[in-house]
Amino acid sequence: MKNLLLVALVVSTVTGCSQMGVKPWERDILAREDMALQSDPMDAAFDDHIYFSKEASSGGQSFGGGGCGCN
Amino acid sequence: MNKFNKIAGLLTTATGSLLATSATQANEATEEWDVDVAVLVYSEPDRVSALEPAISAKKTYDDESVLNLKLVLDSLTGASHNGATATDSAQTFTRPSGNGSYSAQTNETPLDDTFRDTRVSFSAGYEMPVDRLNRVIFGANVSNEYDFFSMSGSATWLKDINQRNTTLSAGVSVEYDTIKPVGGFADPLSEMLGNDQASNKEDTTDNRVMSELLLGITQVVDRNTLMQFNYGFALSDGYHNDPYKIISVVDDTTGETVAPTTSTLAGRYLYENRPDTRNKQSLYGKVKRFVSGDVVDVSYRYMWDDWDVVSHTLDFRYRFNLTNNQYIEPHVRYYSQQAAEFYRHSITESEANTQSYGDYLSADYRLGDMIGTTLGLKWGFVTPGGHKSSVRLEYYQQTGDSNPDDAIGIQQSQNLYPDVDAYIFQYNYEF
Repeated sequence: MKNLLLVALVVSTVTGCSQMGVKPWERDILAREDMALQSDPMDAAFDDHIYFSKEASSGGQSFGGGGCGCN
Repeated sequence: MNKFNKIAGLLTTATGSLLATSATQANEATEEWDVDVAVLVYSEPDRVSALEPAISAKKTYDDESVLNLKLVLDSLTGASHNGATATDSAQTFTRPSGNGSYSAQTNETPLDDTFRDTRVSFSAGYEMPVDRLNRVIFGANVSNEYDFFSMSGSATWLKDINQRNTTLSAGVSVEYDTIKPVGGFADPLSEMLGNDQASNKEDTTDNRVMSELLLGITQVVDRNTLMQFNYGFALSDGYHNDPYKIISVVDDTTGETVAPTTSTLAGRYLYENRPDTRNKQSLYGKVKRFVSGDVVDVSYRYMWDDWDVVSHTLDFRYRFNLTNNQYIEPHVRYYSQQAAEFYRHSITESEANTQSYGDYLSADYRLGDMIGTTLGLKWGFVTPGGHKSSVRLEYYQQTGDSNPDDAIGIQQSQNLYPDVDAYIFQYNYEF
C-alpha cells in the first residue's frame, strides 16, 4: 500500500510539474536568499544532530547519518 | 512610474533571473570565501548539556562550482536516563567503565551522571556543473568522539528540466561507523554486574555500515512558490545497540525490581539488544512561499522502518521580513513517534527467566511512543559593520506515556516516561 502511494505520488508530481513554472525573467523572488530551499544550513545541521540524538528518526531532506547518539 | 523606471525595473528583474540559474541556485559567483560562525548551547535541566561551536566556509568559483568546508566541535556533559525504571526503593548501578557506581533515590528516574564526551566533526562538499543543465555534488564527513568514529561519503546528481523549473536529484551515501564503548561491550541481555565483580564486558570495537539513497524533485510552482519532494531509503547493517542502556526486571505481581541472579547489585538489570540491521524509508515534502514580503516554510516527513518505528514530523516557519536588514522567524515543530516493536519500559521476572520477550529488547526512551514539540524564535539582523547575524532560542519537549496500561503494582504510581525538556540557544555571524 505504501509503495502504491509512493508510485502515485511520483507519477502525479512529475505529470503535474510540466504544467507549472515561470519564465526565466520571472525568477526575481525565487532568487532571494530567504527563498532558498535550505536558507539556514547551519541551523538545519544543528537541528538534524539534536533530533537524531533524541528521536528514532533522521533524514528526509538530506542524508540522515552522522553520529552516535549514545546518550 | 515613467518609462525609464519601468525599463530599469525589468532589467533588475532580468539580472536577478540570470543570476539564479536554476530553481535552487541563488548565489552569484564571488570567488571569495563566505564564512559563517555559530555557537549552539543545548541544555536539558538536570540532564545533558552541550556546547557546539561551528565554522563553515563557502567559496563559489567562476565556473559556478561551489566548495563548502565545515568544522564542528561538540562538548557534552551531564546525565542520561540509563533505561531502568524508577521504583519504591533506592537503586545502585555500575558505571559504564566498571569503576565505581551511581545511584537513583526512591521514586527517582535513574540517570547515569558520568556522561561526558567531545565530538569533532569535519565535512566537505563540492558542487560542480557537468553541463548547462546537470550538476553533481560530492560530500564527505569525518566525525570522532571518545567512543565513536564515523566517516561517510556521498554523491548527488541534479538535473534541471522543464525550462529549469524542475530539478531532479538522485544521491547515494555510505557511512562507516566504529563503536568502542567505555568499559567495553557487555553481552546483550546479560545482567549488569556490581563494580566489585570481575567485568563481563569485552574490550573491543564493533562496526556499522549505513547505505542511503535519496531521490528528489524540486519544482517551481509559480513566481512566489517552490516545493520539494524526497524519497529516502537507508539500510543499516552492524552494531545498533546503545551499549550503556539497560532494562529493569520487575516482579510479576508487585512491579518491584527483583534481585539479580549473578550480580552483587540489589536489582536485576539486563543490557539491551537491538537487531543488527535496520531498514528505514522516508517521504519528505516542503513548500516555500513568498507572501507579501515574508516567507512561509512548511515541511512534513513521514518515516517508517522495519523496527516498527513510524513517525510524522511537521515543521513550520514564518519569516517576517521587518526591513531589508531585519527579520523575525517563529518556528513550530511537531514530532510524533510510534515505538519500536522491541521497546519495553521493563520486563517481568518470568519473562526474563523464560526469555519470552523475544530476541530484542530496549528500554531506551528514544525508541518509545513519543511526542516531541519545539517552539522557537529567531531574530536576524545586520550588524553596524554590515555582517549578517542571528540569534535563535528554542524550547523542545519530549513527552511519552508516563502511566502505561501494562504498568504492574507499584509501577502504577511511578512515572515510567518522564518528560524531557531542552533549551536551545544559537548565535550566528557571517562575514
